[in-house]
Amino acid sequence: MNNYVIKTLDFSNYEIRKAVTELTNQVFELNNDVNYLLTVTKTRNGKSLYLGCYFKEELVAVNIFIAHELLINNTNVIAHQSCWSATIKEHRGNGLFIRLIENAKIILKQNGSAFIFGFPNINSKGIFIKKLGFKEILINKINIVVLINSFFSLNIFLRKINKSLIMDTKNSFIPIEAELIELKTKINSSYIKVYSSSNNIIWGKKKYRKMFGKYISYFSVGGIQINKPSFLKTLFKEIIKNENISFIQIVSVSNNSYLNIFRFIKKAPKTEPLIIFDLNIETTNNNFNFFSGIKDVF
Amino acid sequence: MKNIIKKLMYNVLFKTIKYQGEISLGYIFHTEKIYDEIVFSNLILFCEKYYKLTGVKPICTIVPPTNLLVKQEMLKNNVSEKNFIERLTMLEKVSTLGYHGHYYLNDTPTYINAIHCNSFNPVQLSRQFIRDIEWFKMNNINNNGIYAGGWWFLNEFLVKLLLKNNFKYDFSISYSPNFYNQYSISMGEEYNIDKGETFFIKDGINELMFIQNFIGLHNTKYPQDFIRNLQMLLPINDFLSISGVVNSHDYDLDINNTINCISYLLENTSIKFCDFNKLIQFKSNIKNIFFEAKN
Repeated sequence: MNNYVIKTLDFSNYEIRKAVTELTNQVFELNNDVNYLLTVTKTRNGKSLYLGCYFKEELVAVNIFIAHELLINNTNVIAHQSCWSATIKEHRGNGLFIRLIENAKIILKQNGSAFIFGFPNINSKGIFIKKLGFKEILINKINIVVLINSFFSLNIFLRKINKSLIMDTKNSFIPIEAELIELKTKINSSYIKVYSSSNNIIWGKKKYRKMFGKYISYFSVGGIQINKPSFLKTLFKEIIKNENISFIQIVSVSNNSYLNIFRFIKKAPKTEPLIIFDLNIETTNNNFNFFSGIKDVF
Repeated sequence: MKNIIKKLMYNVLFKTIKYQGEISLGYIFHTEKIYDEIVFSNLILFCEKYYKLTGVKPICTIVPPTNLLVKQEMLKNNVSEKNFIERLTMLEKVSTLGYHGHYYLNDTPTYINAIHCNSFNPVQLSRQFIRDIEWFKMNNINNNGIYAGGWWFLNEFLVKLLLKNNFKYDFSISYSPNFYNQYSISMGEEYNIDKGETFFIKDGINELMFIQNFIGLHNTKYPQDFIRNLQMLLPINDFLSISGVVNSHDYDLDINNTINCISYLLENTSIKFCDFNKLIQFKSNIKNIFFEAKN
């Protein structure tokens, strides 16, 4: 165990990026180029953390922590999303993943990060919760089915919103959607669709799902920024009109305070939950206005 | 069809405004395209016509060239800072100038990067705000302590910044369904501020007077559109004397229809148009609300 050394990786260094890319390509059976990981993990604030574990000068495990800017009670904080956790086969079972996360906790706390979060799959969820002390918040979803017309559907799935509705965002962590959109459009800008007007934004992408032997299309919402809630319906109408879809899917952390404007919210127990480890902010009583677009894999 | 219905309806309804109290209106422009020659000429022309008709000047809150979008557009339109200032000097003769702030999350001035209540960044906001107001000072352009928020954005942080930097009059608050923001709605509810009610926020040293925006001045051919919409935004207690502003952008102004609407209002209603100096005096006629800016 003592032969392993954890190091912060300088991702501006080509050789280091190359080593990390080779490792992740091998573990996940991918064929990413040497700049891909930097492109999908470097946010505009430049505070993402790259950690590697070396064994006799050889990189054997990595974990990336994407730095996200969040708004909370009119203050901006940075929180880090744990992702791209990979250990090469020969070194698995040695607790390297745990050591990487434990090291990240120390480094990120010193760097002022609010908390570490993630959306772990079934394999790593248990480790995060039981061994690393993360807490879990479940996920909800809404499928706005396009019935007869958009007016009809939206009146069913969205509550009546008048202009005096105050979105209660007190103690809610709100992602800066522009940062997420920028991150996601770096790879393929035509893939992500952004709808914006009246100071609101809804963004996401069109996806397909096989149902009853047929492919149906839907719009998967990546994020929503609400400033004038009474105009939100207009944006949803525009999505339905432009995308020619069967439904709009909204997947969100269950305590997202924006969910108050929707009806027919269902639990999504099979969807990867949000996990949180508090660093410089105690988040027990906070809401997380996270939609699926914040996930690194969106 | 819509026009026929309107024509028929307006023969009977909304010929005049049903409100007992005195209504005094100022006109405020969110002046964003000074670099555009046609837009700018039209604005000057309108201000002159407006003065002839009402005897008062409108307020033109301007976005200075330090704003990245304006800077970008000035380059495209071959307008130098010197040209810009020359135009402001012309504008100052026919209107009262103020500051109109538009802020972005970084140096890319796009719509999605706009700072609003729920996409806020205090560091960027302060940086851009200070850069803008320094420009006014450096070029001896008087903003008269007048502020109007771009995209109707306002929050506590910005209010404190305005107070600290000696702004005295704010025109960012509105109950209009188009111009509201989350902060104005919540503040209105918390402090029971009525529609059209002027109020103050004080920080112990400075005070900021808030004069509400009623509505955009309709530039349709039916002045009764304006009456109909304004009627919905007036206080329930119709004995209150109220003052506020109507607004337009410089770039979406329809001179003829707007002037026609003002002429109609002057002839058929008791609405009075007043200039900035008169507007700020109305505080003695209206219930004032004082409260401290929260820390």
